[in-house]
Amino acid sequence: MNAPTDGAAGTAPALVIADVSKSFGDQTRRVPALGKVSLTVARGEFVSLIGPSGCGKSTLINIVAGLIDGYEGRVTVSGAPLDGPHPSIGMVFQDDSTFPWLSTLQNVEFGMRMAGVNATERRERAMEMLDLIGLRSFADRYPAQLSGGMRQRVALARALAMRPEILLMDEPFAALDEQTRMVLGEELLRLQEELQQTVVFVTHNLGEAVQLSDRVVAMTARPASIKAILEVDLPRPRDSSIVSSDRYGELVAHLWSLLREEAITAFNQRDAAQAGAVR
Amino acid sequence: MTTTTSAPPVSAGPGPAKVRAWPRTVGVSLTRIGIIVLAAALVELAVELRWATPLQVAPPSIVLPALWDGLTTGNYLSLLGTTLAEVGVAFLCAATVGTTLGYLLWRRPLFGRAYEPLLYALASSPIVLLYPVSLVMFGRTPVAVAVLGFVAGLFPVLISTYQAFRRLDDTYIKVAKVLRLTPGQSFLRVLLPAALPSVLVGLRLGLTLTMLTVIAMEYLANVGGVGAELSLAYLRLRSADMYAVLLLIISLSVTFLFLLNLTTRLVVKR
Ligand SMILES: Nc1ncnc2c1ncn2[C@@H]1O[C@H](COP(=O)(O)OP(=O)(O)OP(=O)(O)O)[C@@H](O)[C@H]1O
Ligand SMILES: [Mg+2]
Repeated sequence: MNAPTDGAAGTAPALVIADVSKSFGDQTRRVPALGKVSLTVARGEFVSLIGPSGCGKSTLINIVAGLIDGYEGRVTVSGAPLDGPHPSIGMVFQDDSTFPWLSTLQNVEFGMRMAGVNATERRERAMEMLDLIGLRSFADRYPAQLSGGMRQRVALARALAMRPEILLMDEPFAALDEQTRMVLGEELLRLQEELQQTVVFVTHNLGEAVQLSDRVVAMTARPASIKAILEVDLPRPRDSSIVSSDRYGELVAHLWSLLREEAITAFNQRDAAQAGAVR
Repeated sequence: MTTTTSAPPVSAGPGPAKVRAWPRTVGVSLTRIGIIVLAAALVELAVELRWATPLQVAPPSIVLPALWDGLTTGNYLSLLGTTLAEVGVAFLCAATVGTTLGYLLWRRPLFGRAYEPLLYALASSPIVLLYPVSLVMFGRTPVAVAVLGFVAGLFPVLISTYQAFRRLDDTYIKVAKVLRLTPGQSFLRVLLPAALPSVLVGLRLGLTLTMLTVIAMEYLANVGGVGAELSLAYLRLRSADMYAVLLLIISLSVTFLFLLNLTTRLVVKR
């Protein structure tokens, strides 16, 4: 299904993160943001990263997106080492990233247009995406005329239209209200069944992580390393009714037991940092 | 209220009750024109009743024919052309140089931070008072006027462009990177359109300042188009001509702003 890479890449895992660590700042004041992290994501797998705020989740996902360099360790995509933004990696951001000067359709077409996909194919693929996310009737609207949830869907469609092997999502629903968020979560589940997309998903929401993922990676307080990986053995296909099952409750509870201590540590870190700033 | 003819008119006077609601814009325009006409009538009346002498205030009945004469047989059109050319050239240069420098300032944050306060100071200073410098350098020519107009318009354009790029959403830049845009694509397709609305605000301000400075310098140095004519009319106590030229100047700036609003609306369709 995915065009550019084939051959040996077909057997390699979609994403391998090996001993990746990253510090910010200069010699005088180094802030370690990411400890040593190693993680392998299989093709078609939905993996969530969850951890206390400020622990380094965005740093990790931005490294994979090719947006941050100067890190230690290795990242390989379909067996090839990562070097800057990768053609088969797409990303959806927390903040609204739709372009207000383009219509919904033009937004979805944008990446393809820049990549030189011809007009007919571009239109076809964009329309397909709009159908997929249920926004076909909004094709000619501008982002200002859409709700926050719709704009996030447009951003998702723009990324998916590029047919990425790996989709990175950094808290894509964080700026939305609870109900919109649940609706979009459900939508993502449905999409996942349809596309078998490889996804790395960052969230703060325990329930969301369990509901959507095949595996949930629980991270420690900064500098983030992997505390534990939770296999989500809920059956697929899933829909939102899964949240009323006993197993779902157990998994969320277990995840919280893993994260509680880290959340407290992160909380104290912030307190200490603030006290330091005051002094 | 109903529109069918069979229904008895409710508390309507004799004849068919035709209280059609006008589109709001028509009402606004009518009111606007009405106020202007009323003001003109008051001026006329004031002169008629000798509240003001015709030298102080020329009544519309004299000004309008003077304006007509100036436009048809006089030199108003060529004066207007001179001023338009000065403003046009000055503004085009201010727009091009200002946006380019503003962008470069953003790309070189060190320079940006170093020059920002200075630029603000320059933008809010009365550039028109530098007109002797321009005269000395370029002589009593329309070029001298255009140069000063350019300088006056430059700073607001430069500052607003710099600010527009600085305030760009970081997420857009990330999107451009993840979609692997070339530097050219990323500038033309993402950075520029994202910054455009704020840049346009600066262009408006720049045009206003260029226009003010051009006309003021024409007046002060008695060189160039309509401003120079205004000063002549004033010095020779030709009150009708003076008011006629004032009308000309006002309609000039109104036209410019109208055109600018129109372009803004065409470009920023969001
Ligand atoms: N460009 C940067 N320069 C310096 N420090 C940075 C930079 N980016 C991130 N950091 C620091 O690195 C740490 C990890 O940041 P990161 O954004 O990865 O956390 P996060 O887990 O995504 O947090 P959140 O849950 O709030 O999104 C934070 O302490 C942050 O202050
Ligand atoms: Mg983050």
